[in-house]
Formats: sequence, structure tokens, C-alpha cells
Amino acid sequence: MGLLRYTVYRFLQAIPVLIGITIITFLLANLAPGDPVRLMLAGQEVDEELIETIEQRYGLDRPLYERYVTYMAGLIQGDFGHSIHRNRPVTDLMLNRVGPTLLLVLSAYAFALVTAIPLGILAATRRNEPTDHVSRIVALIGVSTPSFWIGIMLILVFAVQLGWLPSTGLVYPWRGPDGYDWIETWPELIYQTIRHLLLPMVALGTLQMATLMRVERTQMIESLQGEYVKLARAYGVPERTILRKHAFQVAQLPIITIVGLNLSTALGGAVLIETVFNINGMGRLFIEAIQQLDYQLIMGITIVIATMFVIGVIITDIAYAYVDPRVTYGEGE
Amino acid sequence: MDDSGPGDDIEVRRGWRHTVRTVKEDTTARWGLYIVAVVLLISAYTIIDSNLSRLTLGAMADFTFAEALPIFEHPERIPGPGEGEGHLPPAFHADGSMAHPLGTDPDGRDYFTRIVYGAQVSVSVGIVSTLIGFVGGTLVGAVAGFYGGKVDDVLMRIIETVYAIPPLILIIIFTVFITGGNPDIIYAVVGVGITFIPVFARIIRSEVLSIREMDYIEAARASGVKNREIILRHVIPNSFAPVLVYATLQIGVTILIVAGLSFLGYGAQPPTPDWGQMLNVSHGYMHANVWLSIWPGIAILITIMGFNLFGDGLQDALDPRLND
Repeated sequence: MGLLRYTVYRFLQAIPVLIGITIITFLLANLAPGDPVRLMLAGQEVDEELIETIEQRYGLDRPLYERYVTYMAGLIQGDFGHSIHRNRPVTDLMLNRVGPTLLLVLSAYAFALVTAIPLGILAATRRNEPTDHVSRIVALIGVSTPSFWIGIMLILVFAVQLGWLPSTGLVYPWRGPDGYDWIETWPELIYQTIRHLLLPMVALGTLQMATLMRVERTQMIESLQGEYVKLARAYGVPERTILRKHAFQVAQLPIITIVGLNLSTALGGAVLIETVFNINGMGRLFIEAIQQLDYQLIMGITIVIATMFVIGVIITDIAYAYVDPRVTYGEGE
Repeated sequence: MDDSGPGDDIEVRRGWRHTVRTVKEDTTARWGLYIVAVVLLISAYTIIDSNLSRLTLGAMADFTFAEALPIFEHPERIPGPGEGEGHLPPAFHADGSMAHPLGTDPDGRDYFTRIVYGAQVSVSVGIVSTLIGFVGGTLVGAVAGFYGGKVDDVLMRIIETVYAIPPLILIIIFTVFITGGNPDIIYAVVGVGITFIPVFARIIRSEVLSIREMDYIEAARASGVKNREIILRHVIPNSFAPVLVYATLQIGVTILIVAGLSFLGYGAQPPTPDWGQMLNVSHGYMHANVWLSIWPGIAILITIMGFNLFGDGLQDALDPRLND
């Protein structure tokens, strides 16, 4: 029950932040010098009457607060406004783009966690041995390399030179085999999904992996020096059990927080990785919208991505409360 | 008041001396410092060179002093037809020559010169925008932490909100909206700096919250020192060390983000040599010329690694928990 109440509380707490995001995005888009319609029509024959008609039609001639209220009223109903540039509702434009980005970001996280946690523990238990040094160098290179360059290098090696993996696009499992005329069965669909996902996943996940690995190592070292570990050792608990049961669990708490906070970097990185690998996700849609100065679309994407981040942080907070040994300690032992 | 003043001073000085000594003894920090020093020297040289030649030879001068050296060419001038060949491979390749150690770009410009001159954009942008974030964040964080209450609440809510938008996206929106679709590196620098204000503000705030309760602040307050003076004289200087470490590490992050920004076309603009922007160009030649994509990435990697190594070393020096 406590957890459920906490969940509701965290979501309620996020409401001001979400409203704040809409205000910031709205102000950025509307207080910028230059008027969106004029900028959009730049380079074309400018007809003053046409501009006025467009502005009237989309309510751009009304005062700022009125426009914001209208925008928010639509937002509550899931209406992100109308893209003047593409003449389509923004919600429609974004709908098919969320899936690829989520697939990319979540798989990158899976890759990062699966590699970082064992390597971090290994480094911590073999502190100052060659294993530790190698993993530290890997982590250092990982946090120092731009993700998009890792992507380019992966394409050069695995797609261009070796020809093992595709360099562009993704295959989306939710479309089913019928969604593609070159894929016939489910196993083949899964196989193709993984093949297409591998390179962008590693490119986006490397930075996360390196960051998490460093934290895991530091946390494990600290946790292995804790009083409770000393006590367990004194009681003659085997080292493996100490590692698995006592040190490990405590060391994961900061990891959970960092996973949540790093989501912001990962979502930003998705813009770059989607560009390098030609993936039709939110990131590429954002770049297209920016190039076309499509204000409504830019606002919509920014709000959706920021909301993804806020929800991600809430989920990790709840996970934290769930895993925290101070809450479950009494039952566990 | 009489004891706390000089007492603090000794405390701070001992802290710095200890830091310098630890950095000297720590191999990683030393290597980081070497790399940072070399990169800083190169960028300082290229900045002086391009500005000096502009000043002495006039704006129209199509020449830099570095060109007098046999290894450099002009970083921006595109050779005329028949003058230089594009897409030359690096010197160690069978078709390469020592005249162009890293080959030439599609326009026939010497790639080595462009990589070297690329340092000035990345490094100066990294440092300047980190400084903007550092100064802005220090002010916001110090005010929020010191006054607490409503001021703190409002500032923290704003910061939390800005924090929710991924930096890269916020910076692109900022540059594009401000410039009306004609991005420029200056706006990118300011945008990156503003985006990092929340990050710094958070750290400073938590430092200030712990310092606020210290006896010497209480003493200063009791003797009637104004709040503004307490913040500037006591609070900010004493919360400096952890923020400095963070700033060093942040320079690496900033260079990483600016590279991404330039790669997408919203940072440095051609013909300015910049690593991210060079990767943008080379992305179009990925199949034709592999070398073009390799060198700028290595340059970015080495530079950021230098700042990270140095920052890590500083952190070890200042965080006693990890020293045993």
C-alpha cells in the first residue's frame, strides 16, 4: 500500500514540472525574435495578406497568454496543435515516431546495464589488478567518445568493411511480419530486429555503460568496506554470499538514480544516433522540424521528450523505494 | 570573528596545497594535465595565429603565420583548380605523401592543418560555455541555498524544469529560435552555457546548504554583515572546490555536446575548421573516404579524455572518502 501511495504522490508531484515544461517551451517558441509564419515563408514571395490570414487562422494574432491557454486546453485532450508547415495535426506526426526512439533508448539501457554491472563488480573485487585497470580504461574511453562518432566507426567497420550488419534503419517488431514484404516469419522478424538494432544500440549505450560502470565500481568498493560487510565476514559468511547478498544490493541504489537522470543524455543522444543511422524516431523528426522551423511540431516533440524523461525519473524513484533495503530489511533476513 | 577569519584562510590554503600535491603524485591526473596542457597550447597558438595574421595583414589576408612552417597550410582557404587534390589518403597509406600527413579533405585542404586548427573552436567553446554555466550556476545556487524558503523553492522548480529537457535539444531550440534559423557558434556557446546553469546551481546549492549552518557564517551574521557580502565573501569561496572538480569534468561534457551540435549543423559553420562540423562533412563520404571520419573523432576523444583524466585526479585529491 505504501508503495502505491508513493507512486501516486510522485506522479502528482510531477505535474508542476510538466506544466513548467510547457511554459518554457511555449515561451521559447513564442518570444523568439522573428515571426514563425514570416520565417517559414522566407525566400518566397511574401504576401502581407496571406501572412495575416495564416496568423488569424492559427490564432497567432491573439495575446500570448490567450494562446497559451488555448494550447494547454488542447494538450489536455492530447492535441498538440496543428503543424502549419505540414498541414497535419502534430499528434499524428509524432505517433509513429515514439516507438522507434523508445526501442532504441531502452535497448541501449539494457546493453549498458548488462555490461556495466558485471564489469563494475569485477573491477571492484579485483581492485588495482590488471582487470580493474583495463575496465577503467574502457570506461574512460567510453565517457570521452562522442556517441555519434562511435556510431560512424561501427558503421565503417561492421557495415562498410565487413558487411555483417545493416547501417541504416530499424525493424519494428510491433508491426509483425506482415508489416514487411521481405520478412515472412516471426523468428525472422526478431532476428532482423536484433540485426538492425545492434549497432545503434551499442553506439547510444556506450556512454551509459561507461558512466554506470564507474559508479558501480566506486559503489561496490565503498559497500565492500561497509560495517555490515565486516560484520558478515566476522560471522564467517562466505565471500560470494557477501558479494551477492550484502554488498551488491546496497551498491545498486545509486545506479538506479543515475539510470533515471541519464535518461536525459540518452534522449538527447537519440537525436544524434537516429541521424547517423537514419532511424525515423522522435530525434530525427525533431531535426526535420528544426530545419523547417515548424514551431508547433518543435514544441510538441520537446514536451513529449521532456515528459518521457520525467516519467523515467518517476519510475526509477519508485524502483528505488522498492529496492531500498531500509524498507524491506525486516522481511528479507 | 577574530579567530575564524585567519583560521579559515589556513584551512583553505592547506586544502589547495594538498590538492596540488595529490595531482602531482597521481599518475592519471598528471597525464590528464599533460594532455590538457598540450591541447590548450595548440589552441592558444592557433587563436593567436589566426587573429595576429588578420590584424597585421588585414582582414583580406589569405595567409596565416603557421603557413610559413612546412607542415601547415591555410586552414580555411580552398585551393583553386589544379592547386590541390581532394581526398588524398594519409601519409602512411601507399598513395599518401608527407606533404599532407593526414591527407586532404574533399575540397583539397590539408586535413592535418584543419584538425590542429579545430582545437581552437572545441576548446574555447568548451571553456567559455562552462564558465557561463559556472558563474550563472554559482549565483543562482548560492542565492537559492542561502535564502532558502520561497526563493529557493521557486528557483529550484525552474531549474528542475529546465533539467527535464535534454541539453542537446534545448540548445538547438535556443540557437535556432534566437537566430531565426541561421545558427552561429556564438549562440551555441551561450546556449550551452545557459543550459548548464541548472547543473552547477544544484551542486553549489547543496554545498551552500551545508556551509550556511557553519559557525563563521553565524558569526558574520551576528556582527551585522550584509547577506550579499556573506554570500560573496564566505559562502561562494568555501563551496568552490567541489564545483571546480565538476567544472573540469563538465568541460569534457561540453566539448562532447558542442561536437554533437556541430555534427548536426547547429554549431560551428563552414569554413571554420571544427571537429564536429568536419564529421558532419565526412558523414557524406563514409563509403568513399574512410579517413575523413577517423581523425576528427580521435582528436575529440583525446581532448575530452585529457579533461576527464584531470578532473578524476582532482576529484580523488579532494574527496577523502576514496583515498585509502
